[in-house]
Amino acid sequence: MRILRALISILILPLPASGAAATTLLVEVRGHYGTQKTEIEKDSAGWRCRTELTPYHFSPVQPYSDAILAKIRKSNQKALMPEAGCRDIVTIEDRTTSSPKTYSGCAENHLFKAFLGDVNRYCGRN
Amino acid sequence: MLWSNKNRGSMKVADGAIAAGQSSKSEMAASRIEDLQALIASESKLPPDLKAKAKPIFAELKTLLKKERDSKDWYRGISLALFKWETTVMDTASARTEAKHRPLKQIKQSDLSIEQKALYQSDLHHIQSEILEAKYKRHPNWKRVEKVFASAQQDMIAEIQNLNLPEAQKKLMLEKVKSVKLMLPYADPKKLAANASCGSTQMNAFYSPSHHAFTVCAGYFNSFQSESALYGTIAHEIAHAVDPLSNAEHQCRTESPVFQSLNRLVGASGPGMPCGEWEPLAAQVKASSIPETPRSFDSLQSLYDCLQPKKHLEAYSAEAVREIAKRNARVELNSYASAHSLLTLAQPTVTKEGKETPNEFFMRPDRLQASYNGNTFHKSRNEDADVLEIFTQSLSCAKVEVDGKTISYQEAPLAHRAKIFDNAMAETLALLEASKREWYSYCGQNCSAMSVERLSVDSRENFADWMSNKALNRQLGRIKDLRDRREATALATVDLCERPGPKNDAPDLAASEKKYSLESHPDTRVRRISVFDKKNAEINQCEINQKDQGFGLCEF
Repeated sequence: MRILRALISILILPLPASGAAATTLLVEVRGHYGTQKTEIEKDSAGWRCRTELTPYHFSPVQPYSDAILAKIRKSNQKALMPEAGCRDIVTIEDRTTSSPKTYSGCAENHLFKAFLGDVNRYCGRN
Repeated sequence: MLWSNKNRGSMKVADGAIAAGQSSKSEMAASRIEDLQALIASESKLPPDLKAKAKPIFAELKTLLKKERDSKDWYRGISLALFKWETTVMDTASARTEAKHRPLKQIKQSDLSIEQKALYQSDLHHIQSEILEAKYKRHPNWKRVEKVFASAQQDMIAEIQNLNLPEAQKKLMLEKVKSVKLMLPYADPKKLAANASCGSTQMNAFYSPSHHAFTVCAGYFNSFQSESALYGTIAHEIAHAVDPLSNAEHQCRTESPVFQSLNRLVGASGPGMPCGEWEPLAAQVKASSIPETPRSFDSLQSLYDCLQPKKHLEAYSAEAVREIAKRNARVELNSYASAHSLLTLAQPTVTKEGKETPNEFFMRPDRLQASYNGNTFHKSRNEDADVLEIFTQSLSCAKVEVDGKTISYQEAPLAHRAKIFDNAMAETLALLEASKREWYSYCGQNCSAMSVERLSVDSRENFADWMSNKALNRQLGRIKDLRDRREATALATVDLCERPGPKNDAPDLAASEKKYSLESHPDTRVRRISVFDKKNAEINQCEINQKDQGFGLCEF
């Protein structure tokens, strides 16, 4: 309980007073037999995830951690690449900054694993 | 036509059930709805501390599903109910931990040690596994997975027995196929380490070499109702237990002195061995060399060469392998250095809220691994030594000369620590390089790591398809009616049908692009047509188009 509350208080962000929905992140996980795509948006009503499962999933908290995203940004892109074949390949298109950037690598990399754990939890896959 | 744009993937299959595609009342995927229904139906099987709390949430979900409609309010209602459920699960798990370890309640979240965080995480994994079992252990879709597994495993055993292989290799392959386990898609790394969404909606299936087990994700078994598609997928995953890289891994671990030396560090909760033992081993590993030609131990190599032709590859040379090992070792060390992992292992103290406090990760690779692994201590004996373990051992034995005296890291004054730290990094890099060149000499032209340099081509996915198609023919042969057999053959590849788009419009270009991509699987079109091999043509009383064969006609 305390762990969850602490997590929420870290993740929750003040919402903008108004404004149209803006896509902040596109997260794609290419698995063995299919691809799961999540488009994360934020508007005055809060955080929303658009997935192939449902076009509108409301998340009461920011569905990813800024701290982990910052670490992914900081990591050398080459270092995130899977050296050997990997089970799921993650691609994050980061549109939170003025010039969008893409980060790609293996879902088993600890940074992607932590990032995806949050997205899966708060974007309605669990 | 199996894919329809009109209904975004819904497909009718022979045995009547349909789950892939969208619901007719909202834009929610049918497999998502199936998963929600499984959750609601699990109520009576939930553990007692969760059951009562689940009741109102599941009632709310049930009502919402009855009133399904395409409106934001409806989607929002579902989202909030699921969020409530997630919160309830986490709260219940924390309550269990605190009931067993009462003092934890008094500790601030930021002051919890990694072992204490692991206690919380372990209960969370446990409760998630209980929910998964309540949802799917007796669910008809999972029961069918179990049934198909039993039959695919028997067929695979029969196929291997028919292969003209040396007895030792055949025996090993049979042992592996007979002992492979089918597991529910547990997220708990001690059980399987499936991606979080594998237990609910992910469309996937995978074999985990470290657990020697495989699973089919709920998104898959709730989507594809065709028995032959499920059979093909399950047989493919079983085949990974004996694919070229699994064979190479087995050989490398059992006979390579480099791996045997380094793997003595696996699971260490500090430096794995005394310096007197470590130093000669490390020197041996660093001085190890690889043969000038790829090692030859797998009698199926000619089959692998057919499955993934090696014509476009550069000639294999030990020199090129050494170069790639050097580069890849640097990249791997770089990823740990970028995350300050090595520094984290090397600092005896850290500053916390302005105060110097003992660093719980100092010389503790197991704790750092656990923190990277979602606060879970788990290192399987089937895994190899990693950078954290090698570095900790190197640092604990690294020394420097000061005023004619040899001193170690722990004895060294601050001014000399940087030099020792640097020496340990250099040694870690050299050892990593040695382990990589050793591994590449075993996986040779089947490695995935050297494919970008055109020195190898990963043939394990084609091999898994090839083996599963062989087994599938046995399954198809048991279907009496020709028309049903043909339909089952077509449906076996239903999961490989992709939405039309640029990639599918230019299959030749896509196949070429793929060689440079991160994807491990061959393109789906080749996989689809490869189901048609000689035996399949015989069973289905048809002819194979000689122009368009995939790798179905490869023989051993």
